[in-house]
Amino acid sequence: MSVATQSNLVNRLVVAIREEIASHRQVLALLRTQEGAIRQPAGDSFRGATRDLEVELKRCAQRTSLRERAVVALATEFGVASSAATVGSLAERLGSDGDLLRAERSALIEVAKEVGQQNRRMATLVRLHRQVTRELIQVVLGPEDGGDVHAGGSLIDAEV
Amino acid sequence: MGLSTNIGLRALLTSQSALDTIGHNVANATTEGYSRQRVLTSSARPVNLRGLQLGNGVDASVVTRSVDELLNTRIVGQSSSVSRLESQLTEMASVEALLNEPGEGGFGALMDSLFSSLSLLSASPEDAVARNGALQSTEGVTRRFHQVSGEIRQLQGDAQLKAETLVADVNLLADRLVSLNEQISQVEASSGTVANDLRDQRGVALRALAERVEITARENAHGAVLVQVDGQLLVGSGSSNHMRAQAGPNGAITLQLRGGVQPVEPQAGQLAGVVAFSESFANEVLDGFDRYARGIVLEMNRAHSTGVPLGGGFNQLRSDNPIADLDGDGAFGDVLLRDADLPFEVNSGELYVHVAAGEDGDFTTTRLQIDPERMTVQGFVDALSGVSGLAARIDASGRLNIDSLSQTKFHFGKRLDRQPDNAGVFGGDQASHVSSFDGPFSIGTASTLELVGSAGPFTLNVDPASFAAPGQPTASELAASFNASPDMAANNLRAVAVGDRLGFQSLSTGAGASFQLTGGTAASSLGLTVGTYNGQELAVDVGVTGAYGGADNGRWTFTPIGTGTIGTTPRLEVEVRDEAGALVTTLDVGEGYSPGTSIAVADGLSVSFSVGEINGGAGDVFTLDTIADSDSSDVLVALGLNSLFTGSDAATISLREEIANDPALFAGSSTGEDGDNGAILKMLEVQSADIESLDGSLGTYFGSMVGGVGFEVASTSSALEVESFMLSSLEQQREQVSGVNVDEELVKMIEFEQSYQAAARFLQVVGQLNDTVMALV
Repeated sequence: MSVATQSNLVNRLVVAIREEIASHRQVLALLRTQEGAIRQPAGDSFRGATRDLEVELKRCAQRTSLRERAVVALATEFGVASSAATVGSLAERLGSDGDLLRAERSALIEVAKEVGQQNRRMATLVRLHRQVTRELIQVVLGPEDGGDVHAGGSLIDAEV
Repeated sequence: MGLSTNIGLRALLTSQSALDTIGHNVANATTEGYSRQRVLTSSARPVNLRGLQLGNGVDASVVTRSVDELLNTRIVGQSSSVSRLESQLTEMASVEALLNEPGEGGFGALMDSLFSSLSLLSASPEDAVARNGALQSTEGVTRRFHQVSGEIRQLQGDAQLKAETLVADVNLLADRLVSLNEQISQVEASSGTVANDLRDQRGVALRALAERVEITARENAHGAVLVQVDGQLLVGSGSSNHMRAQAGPNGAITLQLRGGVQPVEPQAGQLAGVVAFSESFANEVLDGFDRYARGIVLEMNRAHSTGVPLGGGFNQLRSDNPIADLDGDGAFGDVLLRDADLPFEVNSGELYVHVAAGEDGDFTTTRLQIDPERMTVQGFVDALSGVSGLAARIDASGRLNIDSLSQTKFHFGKRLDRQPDNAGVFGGDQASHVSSFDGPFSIGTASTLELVGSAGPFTLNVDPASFAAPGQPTASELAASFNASPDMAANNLRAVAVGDRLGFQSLSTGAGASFQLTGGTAASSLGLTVGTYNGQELAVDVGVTGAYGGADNGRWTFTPIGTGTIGTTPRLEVEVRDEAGALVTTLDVGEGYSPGTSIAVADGLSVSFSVGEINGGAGDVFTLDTIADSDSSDVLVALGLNSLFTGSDAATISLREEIANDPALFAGSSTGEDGDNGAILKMLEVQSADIESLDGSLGTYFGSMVGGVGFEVASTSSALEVESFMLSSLEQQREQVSGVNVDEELVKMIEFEQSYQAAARFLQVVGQLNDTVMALV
């Protein structure tokens, strides 16, 4: 494998990871906006953040495709099965040429963890609010099935 | 549990609080006085951990009420105004309904019936059936007065009871406010939060209180409201001063707070409305009815008291209205007529009293001058007793009793003397001489009259000190004094009073009857002329026809100009002068006059003279009382003598019991002559006449009174409409500020629920993608 080809493939992967990092940061910001809105509660702000999140998620397919093609190409260059290749293992194989890739990988891991935490907290908040709201609606309109309006569910402790 | 878990839990609890508050709003959407609440959030206090200050999530810092205190204060004040008008209008409408003319039972129909029956009676004044009909109609009117008056007083009494009930409500609400004040102060002091729901409850209680009585409320530093009514403290920070309602006469309602030194007089609230109705409106309507009834009593009694009943007069009369012993000395007679506390005013005027000489004798008329400013009750009694044939006294109950002597009759009508020359000194067949001017005469010192009669000369003495007004004897006093001398009877002579003139007259008649006035120091002072006076064979009969239609009471004096024979002597005239000496007319009774025919004098009266000689030089004269109003002083009405109605207001007006028991006592005649209906005609005039005390006719006054009530009801109703609109507008504003719209809250929650559902889906995708990324890296 020529040096130029390898370097080109590494750059493609770094670009894909950077795009992933940017996307994660955008998602993280939107999740935080949602959390702020749900606390108020500020319906319009919440709905706006949800719409923006939807738009962001629609861009995922193209980004995933770009990222997977870069990983598969570099794995092929190193003679590794693409299903077993990770960004970390590829960076190890690149040695000192993989420093940039390693740095981007660390940044991606950090932001992905934050997104994961924020996402779980939001999932719990939304589940709880949904539950309470449905109970209130049932108080006003009467239970949909005639059952106990308080038999909706239980609180789940948020996981950090 | 880690810090992040704690942050998440705070967020959950905060959101839960917000949603709980929405639920609280929805649940209380229809709760009276509830103010919409919302949660205010703020960032939780950060924590120091490993030298770092870390955020600690969100807190629901406070739940606030959406409330505009200024608006609520205005609503409280406006509620008072509306409640006052509502309360007042309810009561007023009851009175208005009472005054609606219910067909034949209404005042209009009853008054028409009364005057119709009187009109029927006027055609046959002595008809017993018509009399009973008139009296039944009269009782119908008095019953209606009693009914209306009684029902208005009942409404007044109900209003007084209502005031007591409202005061009980006020006291309950005051106690409730004290309790809420304590709870609010306690909650807010201990928790540092605003006691939203308790404050709402207190707002409701304040408004309920304001609906009952006008209040001013202010909140002190500890969150307690202090409530004042008319500047006096009703609700303090820890206690209340209960209100008390005291009912009084004439619908009076006195409101007082415990410890208050003076009554409270709220201007708004239901209590103010009830008080205004009971103390003002109801009394005004009652006053209106009293004035109406009083006008009827006065005018009808004016006509009836001077009327003459069947039978031609009375043997006895007793007044309906007692005289008050104002000075409490046990004597009724020592007060002036004006101060006798009679229900109607006595005016300066005249009262004519007609008394029959015997059981079937001719009536003699006496005119009494009534001056309420100078005449005492006893003076009036004495004046009546001074009328020949009458005895008057005040009984133990203060009522005036008049009795005729010797079963003679008397009355106070407009009797016209059809044969006015009662003394026979106008062309009479007795020898006579009459003074040339009216008394009272001026006799300053002891004086004499020298006469020669059938027995010879004799002297009459005049003692000026022996008269009621010393030195000012009247013709009647002098005649009585002279007749007391035995020389008069011994000489076949008598003294007579002809109106206010003094005359001497022989007891014998014919050409042979004669006497002489030869002198004396009193002759000129008495208007007497020295001379010989002879009788004649033919006496002149004077007759009066017609009915007096003049406006004023008076007395006409008829004197011959010259001497001559009626119907024979050329230019023989009779001069007629009124009391002021003004010439009324001159009657030509000489040549060309056909004796016995009537000659018009004035004001509907005519006079006729039979054949005979009249002698101006001898002082021939007769007088004729012309009576327009036989009681221009209203003393009969004031005392209730010969009245048709007793009482003096709507509650007391009644047909006099004696008349109800004996319809013959209904006095329909004004003269006592057979078939006369003058008093009935005068009563009929009351229907359309302008009545001074009513500022118009009966119909006009009643219409105006009923219209006035209707106008006041309409005005109050209109004011209520305006004030209610303002209150409604303020309540709408409050609803915008503080109210809960369930639909809005529901839509809001459904939108939340839908957006949470959408968010949950995307959050799931985010999680999956994040897992994929983590697996890749």
